[in-house]
Amino acid sequence: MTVQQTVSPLPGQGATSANSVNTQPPPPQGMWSELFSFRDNRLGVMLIVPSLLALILVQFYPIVYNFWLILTSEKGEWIGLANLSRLTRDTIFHGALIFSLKMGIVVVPMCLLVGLGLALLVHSDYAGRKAIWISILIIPLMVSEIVAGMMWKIMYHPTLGLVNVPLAALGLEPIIWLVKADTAFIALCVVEVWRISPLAFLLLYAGLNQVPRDIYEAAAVDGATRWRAFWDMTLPYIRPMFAIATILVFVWSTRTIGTIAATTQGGPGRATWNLSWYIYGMSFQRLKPHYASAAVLVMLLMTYIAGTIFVRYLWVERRSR
Amino acid sequence: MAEVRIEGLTKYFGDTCAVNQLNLVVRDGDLVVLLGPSGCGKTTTMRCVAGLERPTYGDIYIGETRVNDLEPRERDVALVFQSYALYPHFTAFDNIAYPLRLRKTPKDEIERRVRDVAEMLGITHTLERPPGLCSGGEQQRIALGRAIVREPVVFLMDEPLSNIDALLRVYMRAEIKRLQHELGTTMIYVTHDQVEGMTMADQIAVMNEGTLQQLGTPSEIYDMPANNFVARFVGSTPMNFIPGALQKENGKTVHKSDQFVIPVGDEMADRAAELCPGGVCTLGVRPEEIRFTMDEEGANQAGVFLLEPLGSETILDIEKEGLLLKVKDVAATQVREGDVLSLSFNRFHLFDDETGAAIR
Amino acid sequence: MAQTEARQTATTDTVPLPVEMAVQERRFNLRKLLVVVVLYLAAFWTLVPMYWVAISSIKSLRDLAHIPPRFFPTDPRLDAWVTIFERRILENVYNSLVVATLATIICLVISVPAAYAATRMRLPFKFVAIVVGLMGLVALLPPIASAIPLFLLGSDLGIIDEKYTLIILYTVLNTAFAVWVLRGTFMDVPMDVEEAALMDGDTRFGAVRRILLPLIFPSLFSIAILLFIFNWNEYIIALYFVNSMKTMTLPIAIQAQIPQHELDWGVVSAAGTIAVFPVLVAAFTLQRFLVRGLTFGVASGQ
Repeated sequence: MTVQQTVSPLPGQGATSANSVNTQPPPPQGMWSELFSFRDNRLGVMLIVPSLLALILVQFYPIVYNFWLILTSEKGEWIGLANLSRLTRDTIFHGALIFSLKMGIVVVPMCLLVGLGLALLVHSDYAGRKAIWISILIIPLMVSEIVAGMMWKIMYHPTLGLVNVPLAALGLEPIIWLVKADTAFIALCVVEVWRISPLAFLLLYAGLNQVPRDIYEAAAVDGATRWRAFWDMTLPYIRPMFAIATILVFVWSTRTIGTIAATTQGGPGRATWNLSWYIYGMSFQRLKPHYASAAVLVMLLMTYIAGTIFVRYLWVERRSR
Repeated sequence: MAEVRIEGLTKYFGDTCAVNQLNLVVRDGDLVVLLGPSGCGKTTTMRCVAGLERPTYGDIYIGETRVNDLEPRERDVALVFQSYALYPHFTAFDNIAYPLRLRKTPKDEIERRVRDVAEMLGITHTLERPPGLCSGGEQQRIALGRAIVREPVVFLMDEPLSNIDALLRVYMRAEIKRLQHELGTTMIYVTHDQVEGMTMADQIAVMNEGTLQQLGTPSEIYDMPANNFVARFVGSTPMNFIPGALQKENGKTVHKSDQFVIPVGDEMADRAAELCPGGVCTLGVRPEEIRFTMDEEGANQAGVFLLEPLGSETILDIEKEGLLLKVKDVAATQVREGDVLSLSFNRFHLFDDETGAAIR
Repeated sequence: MAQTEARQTATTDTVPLPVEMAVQERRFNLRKLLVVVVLYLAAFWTLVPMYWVAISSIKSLRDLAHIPPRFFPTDPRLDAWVTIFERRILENVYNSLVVATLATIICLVISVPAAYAATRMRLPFKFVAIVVGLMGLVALLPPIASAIPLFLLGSDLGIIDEKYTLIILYTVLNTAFAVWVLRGTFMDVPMDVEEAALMDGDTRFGAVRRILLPLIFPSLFSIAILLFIFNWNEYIIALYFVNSMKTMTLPIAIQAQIPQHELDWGVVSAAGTIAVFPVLVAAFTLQRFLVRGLTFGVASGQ
C-alpha cells in the first residue's frame, strides 16, 4: 500500500492538524539498527541467539572446517585442490556417485507413486478409521535405518526370509538377493521404498487435506468427471507439496547409510557403495578424512541444490497465493 | 477516565507506511469511531494506542502520561478483538475473571464483579461453559465482559460486531453505546461500517490510506464532507458525483457537465473562484437532495431505468448519457420505469478535481 | 445434492435408507471394497517385516531352519531373549534412553524460545526470514556432512566416546528442524489470544505460560516424541562417536549383533523388536499431529 497524496485533509478539519500534511517522514533505516533499537527486539534476538549459536558451532563450523580439510593432506600439509582432482579420477567414488543417483532415479518416483496412491486411498471417503491407517502406514518412517536394514536382511535371507516364499510357490529357484550386484540393487531399492514412501504419503496426504472440499462440488456442478476433477483441481493444489515431497525423498534417499550397513555392507565387491557409505568408509575405515571431505563437498552441493529449490518453493510459491 | 491524545503518529511496516502523521484528540468520555475502508490504518492506530504496536514516529498520551514506552498492561486500556480472542481453554467465567486475577483481586470480589457484569450483559447462563460451546453473540458478549469487568480508563474496540449476524448487530451497537454512556469511559471504536459509525459515534474520524480525512460529529461528516473520499464513503446510498466545470452563463455561475447545467449560488461561486481558479470540479449531491417533477418541459431531464423499492422509500436509478444517478423518492410518487423526469438539485457540494477537497 | 449427501452420511448406520439410496450405496460398496483391500495390502507390506522380526526372535532353532519358513512359530522359545539380555542389551537401552531424553529436552529448551521470537516478537521481517530460511536449509543437511569435522574436533578435544558429547550433538543436529516445526505450531495459534492476555494485564512471560503453552501443549508433546524418536534411531553420528559399551546406543548395538553368515538371527531379532517398540507407540500418538504439523509446519508460508 502506498500512501496517495491526492486526498489530504484540509487544514482546519483535523483536530490539531499538522501543517506538513503532504510530507511523509522517511521509513526507518536498515534492518540492523531497527533490530537493536528496541528493548523488545533485543529480547527477541536474545531468544534466537542460543539456537543460532548452536547451529553455527555444530553445523556451520564443520562446513567451513570441511573446506580446510579438503585443501590439506592427511598429514596436514597444504595440497590445494589435489584431493578434488584425485576424486575426479577415483573410480570407487564414481561408482558410489552413480549408485546414489541411480538409486535416486528409481526410488524417488516409486516413493512418490506409492505415497500418492496411498494418500489418495486414505483420503477417499471409503477409508474408514483414517487415524489407524495413517498410524500404520507411517511406521516405517520412524524405524531406525539400521533396524529397517536388519529386518529386510532377514526378509531376504535365502532360508529364513519371506521374500523367496512366493517365488518357491511359483516353482522358481530361490534368489540369493544380496550377493549379486543387480539383485542387491533391486533389493536395496525395495528397502528404501518401504522406508521412505511413508514420507511422501504423509506429505501428500497433508497436501490433500488442504484442498477445499467445495471446489470439488463446484467442479461436479460444472460437469467435471472424477478423473477430470483430479487432474484439474487436486493436482494443481498439491503441486507445491508434491515438489517438497520430491526434494525431501531425494535428500533422504541420498543420505542412506544404515540400510547398507545392515544388509550388504557395500558388497558384493563395491557394487552397493553409495555416497554416504563411501564417505564413511573413506573417513572411518580407511582413515582418510581429508580425502573423504572432498566427497562430502559433492554431497553438500547436491543438498544445496535440492535445498534451494525447497526454500524457493516454500517462500516464493506459497506467498504468491 | 482519560483523554487520549495522538500526536504525529506514523507507523511503518517495513517500507509500507500504514499510518501517516495522524493527529487526534479523543476527549474524556467520548466515543470516537475510527472509520475507513480495510487497510486505511485505523486498526494500526488503535493497536498503537493499545501498546501492541510501537509507533515509528509520534507520541501517544493517555491522560497526561506519554505511553509510548509502556507495556500494554501498564496502560490500563481494554481491547475487544474482532475475533474476540477468548481463551479457549478457560470457561467463560475464567475468561472474564482473568484480568481481575492478574490484578490480585480478592476471590469474593472477583466472583461478585464477574456475576454483575455477566448479568448486565445477559450471559449468566454461559459462565460455566468454555467459549467454544457458546454462540457467536454470547462469545462477543463474553469478550465485552472481559473488557468491562476491570473498569479500564479507555475502551478500544476492533470491529467487535463484524462477525455476528445483522439483527444482533443492530441490537448490540445500541447496547455498546448505552454501556459506554453509563460507564462514562472513553472509547475508541474501529469499524469499516459507516452505519455503525454514524449511529454510535460522538465523533467520527474518517481515515483513508493512513491519513486522517476528517474529524467531526456524525452530522458534520454527513452534511459537510471535507473531501470527495469522505463524501463517497459515508451514506448508505452513496452520493452522486457529476464531473464537470464551473462556467459563467448570463452572468450567473453554473456547473456545466455533459449531462446537466446546474446553477451555483453566488456565495459558493465566490468561494470556488478563490479556491479552485481552474473551475474544474465535481459536483456531489446526496440522493435525497435531488428533487424531481414529472413534467417533460423543465431543464435537466433524465430517464428512469430501474426502481429499487425499499418499503419506506424507493430508490430511482436514473441514467443520462452514461451518467448514473440514484435518487431517493420518499414521497412514494407513482414513477415507473421509462418515465422521463425533470431534476433539480437542492443542496450539493463541489469538489476540486485536483485535490479532491470540498469547496466551501 | 449436498443435502442428501449430508443426510446420507448422518444416517447410514442407524436409519434404513430409501430404496434408491440403498442402490447407490451398493454401487459405492464395490469401490469401497477395492479401496479397503488395497489398504489392507499396504498395511501388510508395511507391517510384515516387523512381524517377521518379532516372530524370528521367538522361533526355536528348528523353526528357524525349516524350509519354507514358517509364518507362525510352532514351538516358541525365549532363548534369543535370554541371550540378548545376557549380552547386556539393557545397558544399550539405558544409554539410548538417557541420550535421547536429555537431547530432546535441551533441544526444546533452546528451540522453543527461538520459534517464539520468530513468530511472536515482531522482529524485522527480513531478519526472521533469514533466520528461518537458514534453519530450513540446515535441517536438510545430511548428518554425515558434519560428522567428519566434528569427529576430528572431538578427537582433538578428547570427548569421543562420552555420553554428553552425543547429547550435545543430537541436541544441535535437531535444533533447526525443531525450530522450523515449532514455528509452524506457533503460527497455528492466533496471535490475538496472546495479545488479549497482554491487554488484560498479563506480562509477556505470563501470557506465554498461562495462555500459549496450554494451547500448544499437545503439539509440543508430539514434537518432543518426534525428536525423541529421531534421537533413539540416530545412527551415523553414533557410528563415529561410539567406541565402547559405555556409550553404545541401541542402533549400534543392533549393528554389532547382525550375524554375517550363521543362523543366529534370533538374537538380533530380539534386539530389533526392542528398538521398534517405542516407534509403534509413537506412530499411534503422532499421526494426528504429523498430518496437521506438516501442513502448518513444513508447508506454512512466510
